[in-house]
Amino acid sequence: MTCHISEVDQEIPRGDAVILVGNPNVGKSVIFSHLTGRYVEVSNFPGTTVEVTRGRMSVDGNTWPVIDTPGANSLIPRSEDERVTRDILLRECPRAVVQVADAKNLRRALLLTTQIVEMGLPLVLVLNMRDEAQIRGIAIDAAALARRLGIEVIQTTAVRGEGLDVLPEAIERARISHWQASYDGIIGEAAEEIKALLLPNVPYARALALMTLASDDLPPGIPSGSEEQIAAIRVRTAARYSIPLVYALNQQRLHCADCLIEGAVHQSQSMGRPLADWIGRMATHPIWGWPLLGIVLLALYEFVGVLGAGVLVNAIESTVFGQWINPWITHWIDVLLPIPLVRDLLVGEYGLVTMALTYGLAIVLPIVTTFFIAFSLLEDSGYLPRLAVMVNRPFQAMGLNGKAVLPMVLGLGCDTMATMTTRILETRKERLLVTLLLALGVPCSAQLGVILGMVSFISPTALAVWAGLVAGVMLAVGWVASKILPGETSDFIVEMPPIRAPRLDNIVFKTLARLEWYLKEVLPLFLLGTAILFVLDVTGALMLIERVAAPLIEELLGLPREATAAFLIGFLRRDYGAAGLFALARQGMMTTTQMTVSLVVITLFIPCIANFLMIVKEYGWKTAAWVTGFVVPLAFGVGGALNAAIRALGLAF
Amino acid sequence: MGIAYWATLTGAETIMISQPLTQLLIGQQGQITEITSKGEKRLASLSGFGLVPGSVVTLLQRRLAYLIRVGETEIALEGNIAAEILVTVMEPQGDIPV
Ligand SMILES: Nc1nc2c(ncn2[C@@H]2O[C@H](COP(=O)(O)OP(=O)(O)OP(=O)(O)O)[C@@H](O)[C@H]2O)c(=O)[nH]1
Ligand SMILES: [Mg+2]
Repeated sequence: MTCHISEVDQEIPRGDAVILVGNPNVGKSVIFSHLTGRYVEVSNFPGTTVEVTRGRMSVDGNTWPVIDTPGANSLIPRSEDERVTRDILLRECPRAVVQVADAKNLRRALLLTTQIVEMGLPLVLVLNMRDEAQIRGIAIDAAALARRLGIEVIQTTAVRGEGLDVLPEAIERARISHWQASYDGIIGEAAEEIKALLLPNVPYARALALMTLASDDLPPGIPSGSEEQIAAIRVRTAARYSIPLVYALNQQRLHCADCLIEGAVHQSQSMGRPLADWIGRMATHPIWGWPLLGIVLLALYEFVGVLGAGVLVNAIESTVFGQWINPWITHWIDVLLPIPLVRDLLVGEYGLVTMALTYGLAIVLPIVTTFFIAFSLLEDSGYLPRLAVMVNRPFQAMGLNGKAVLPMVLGLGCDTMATMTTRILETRKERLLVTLLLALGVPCSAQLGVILGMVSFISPTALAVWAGLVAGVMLAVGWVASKILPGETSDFIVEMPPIRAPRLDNIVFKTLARLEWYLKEVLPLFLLGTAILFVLDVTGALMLIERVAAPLIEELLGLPREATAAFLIGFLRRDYGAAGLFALARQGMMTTTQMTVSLVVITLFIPCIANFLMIVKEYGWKTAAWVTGFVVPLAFGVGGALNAAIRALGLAF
Repeated sequence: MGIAYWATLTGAETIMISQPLTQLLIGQQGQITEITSKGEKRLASLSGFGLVPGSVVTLLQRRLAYLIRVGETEIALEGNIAAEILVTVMEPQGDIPV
């Protein structure tokens, strides 16, 4: 699979892989699923895919690996996810690249095409979103484009599967385009000079030469030793321009793209999308945007908090588990295995069935199911990125900008995944800040659902106290951390995807995929946590811990002793801890004041193990340890302060 | 900045004069003549979205953040960045009041 280069760039021996690339949010992942039969997340915002996903496709009896990549506007990366895409293109020697383009934004796509063509890779161009282009009155003469580019150009509406049937054959026949962007003399000469430095044994020499001109962030594959010479050429060339080289390059590329498109794209009267456009306007409106956000949150509460955590949990917990499963299992265990220890392990106070499965399947599962459905609807509508405009100001106070709202909101689904999505941010400082805030105060789906469920026991004032306190702590921590952490904040330049009607099939697939993840990854942890509690309980260690923790739990936080177990399992997963508190609340063992305090503490509590490991993976052990070491005392401190304040002021909720 | 500009919103001469994007009326179109930003990253981002001299932009919103459309892409950006994008006002199309 290694790339060898002979005299001509073009003769790079090929590996097997087919790589899908393209601008963000153009339908790469939809097409990946179509080719491989493997569902990957599809959402209506740029930055859904942040790491490479591999699958396999078969054509005429051959099977080839297929790689889905994060969206990129350019192969000169400005964020980590774009870097992932550049690197995979440079490292794999693909049999073919499939560039997925948004047909209504062809010019932007061609900016990327020029860079892929410069690598000398066999290419197929897919003009996706044909339906949306048609509504906007845009018609593309694909045959003309194909002729000019010298490659196959396919028009598709991927979500309906239209036009995709010819893609596998086209991939098989993928060719190298003869279309090259031409640059002015200064850039052209500099590129040739660098290329000469690289040539005898470096593949993609021309593309690499242009990349090194455009940015001092050197791509992989540059032989060590030549860096200095390249830097010298870069500096010399840059000095001959009044504008940065990368800007000059993009201008010249876009100019070539305009020439290529000339006469091949026809614009007629747009049919317009009055409703979608109106919703889009309202979502970022300086006044109406806020009531709209209120409506969205209220709907979320009604669906997840009232329907999921109320109606469904009641039905499943009290009826299915309470009346059928638990008594039935207890009965049979008494008959078949009348050993007290086994009985307790399965159906005791910390029993695998009565606690782990009841919490996991009866409390959390209905909650996350409703949450996942509601969240998928939001993700696919295109509403979420619009929040970036609404919250840009407050986020700037935390050393971030509106762009960071996306990973933060995705944290409501799962903090672990959201930690990976911080890759879409441009500076390390921003990525670290968001990672910290996610670990600190963004409740994940299950936890949020449980919290919404508990709200029905407490008053709106308590809810306001909880939300205000958590938001306030995040703002304060963000503000302080942004002053301490070195580095800068990037520019606020964010793309707003079109408002789209969510598609039922995608909502179903995405919800099922997430539920599968929940059952596979989360449920075992619930079982493990319960088993640990059980052992602690039978050995008497739990009582000891409760006694040791008494000053913390009972005095500082003013909570009942039983809450200790909930916080213990909270170390494994915050949502499991929240479920434990929810169970206590449902049994009437906590006052509303206690519920409010415990909610604040469990929300700010330690990130779950998976999230911790993700922080380790993205930033190393030290950062992960720092984050955790900071978050836990802070959670208890804030909870203690709240408890003291409530008591001192004699408040009641 | 090199170019003298001011906002004259009516009259034929406006077509020739560059003004910051921020001076456009909502719904008005302008053709980019120059982007005066100095930062390499900023220019890389803007040009990556197709914002270069010659591109036609429409202003959609100015409060909270500037919202513009270029081609079929909608982009939100901060005021100080929007002010660095100089445009000439295009002839109003159809019924957009000037
Ligand atoms: N109308 C329409 N929508 C489409 C089409 N193809 C994809 N979409 C929608 O476009 C959005 C983005 O699709 P994805 O497959 O997630 O796009 P992607 O290119 O993988 O995006 P990133 O991973 O963020 O770069 C989703 O909401 C899809 O439903 C199409 O042909 N027509
Ligand atoms: Mg994707």
